[in-house]
Amino acid sequence: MSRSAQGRLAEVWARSARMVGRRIGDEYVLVPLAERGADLDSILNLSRVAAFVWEQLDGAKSGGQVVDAVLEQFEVERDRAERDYLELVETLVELDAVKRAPKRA
Amino acid sequence: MAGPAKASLARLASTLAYHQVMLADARRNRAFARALARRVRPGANVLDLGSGSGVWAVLAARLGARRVVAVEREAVLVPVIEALAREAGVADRVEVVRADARHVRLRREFDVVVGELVGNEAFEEGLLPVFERARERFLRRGGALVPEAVALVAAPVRVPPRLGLTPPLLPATSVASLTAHVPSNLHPSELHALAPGRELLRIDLRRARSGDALPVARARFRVKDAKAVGGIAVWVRMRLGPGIELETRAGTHWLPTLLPLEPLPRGPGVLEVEVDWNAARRRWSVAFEGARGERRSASHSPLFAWGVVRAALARGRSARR
Repeated sequence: MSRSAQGRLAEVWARSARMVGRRIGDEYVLVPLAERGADLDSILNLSRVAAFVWEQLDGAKSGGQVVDAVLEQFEVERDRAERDYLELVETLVELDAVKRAPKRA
Repeated sequence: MAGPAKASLARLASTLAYHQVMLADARRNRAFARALARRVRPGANVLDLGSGSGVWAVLAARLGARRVVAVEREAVLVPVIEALAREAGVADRVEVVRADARHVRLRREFDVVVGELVGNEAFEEGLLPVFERARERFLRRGGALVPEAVALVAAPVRVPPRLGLTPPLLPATSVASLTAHVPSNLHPSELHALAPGRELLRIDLRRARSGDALPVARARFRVKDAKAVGGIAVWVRMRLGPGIELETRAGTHWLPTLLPLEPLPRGPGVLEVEVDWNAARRRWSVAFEGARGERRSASHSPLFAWGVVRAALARGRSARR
């Protein structure tokens, strides 16, 4: 893994209060609580694993710890889990759906 | 019958049927008539926006208005209003303008602006932009708006067993899980409130700006048994004039709106309800805290249903490729 990926996995993210997530049947849907009209393109459909990751973004666990939790819960290789985690966080950051948690002392 | 004529006939029939329902709404009629009687002084100029069958325009003339302009966009209703004005003997004082109330151009010469542009959900018929424009451009200083304020009132309610198939011929939870995120109309006979209604928000039409988003509204309700709560009913309370209020909870042609909720735990507790009534991002959330400390919260929005359906559509498209 590259040094920058390692750095990104050390970061801690928290779900933004401007997003609401719901599981409906087999789907997990994330909806933005926009200030103005809703942007329908900002609605995200999360896979089972992505929904699990979303629920782990509690502002306390680092990316590495979230990936560990994914590995405990799902049959997936670490490389793949780390790559998918970083991609998901990147998407969530673009949608302003997560906030970087303050570094703990 | 030729196509356009047939279409006009169908439009006339449905429009008249719709207005007949409103004309038969005695509570609404009495309240608006009282408000006009209070507001229309002899010699006044009155503007009726979205005039419909023309009853308020014609009544204003009968109350002594010197000049009444009735604005109505439906072509088939223009002769209906004109006939009513003739029948009432006020045709010389009622001018019918066929135009959309949102775009009509008039002078600032009116002492009273009346517009029954209140929908089941209060604002979906363009009440805010139409009244803001009328207030800014057509209403004289010191003039009156009818209605002058509109509020949303809410209460937790039982929900009649109507989601899914009745009788249950086959499982329909897939549909029910989607409809749990969609507001629907509730017939007043189905509205069994489990706590007194509380005002969610109130918009003063004398000051409101249509560009402003409606504030996210919150209310607290104490319930004896949360298990009985199937949704939040929302209805409209209009202030038509000093001391003249009209509520659409029951006894009018309007229908309350039901915001469905997922099942809550059994027992007494407090419901904290948060509602975003802005059409493009309609959402309602509930947080329940039971007397024994149990907690439950959930958010609902048509956007969740859209997310589910959109994913299914995308899967269908990729399967066809």
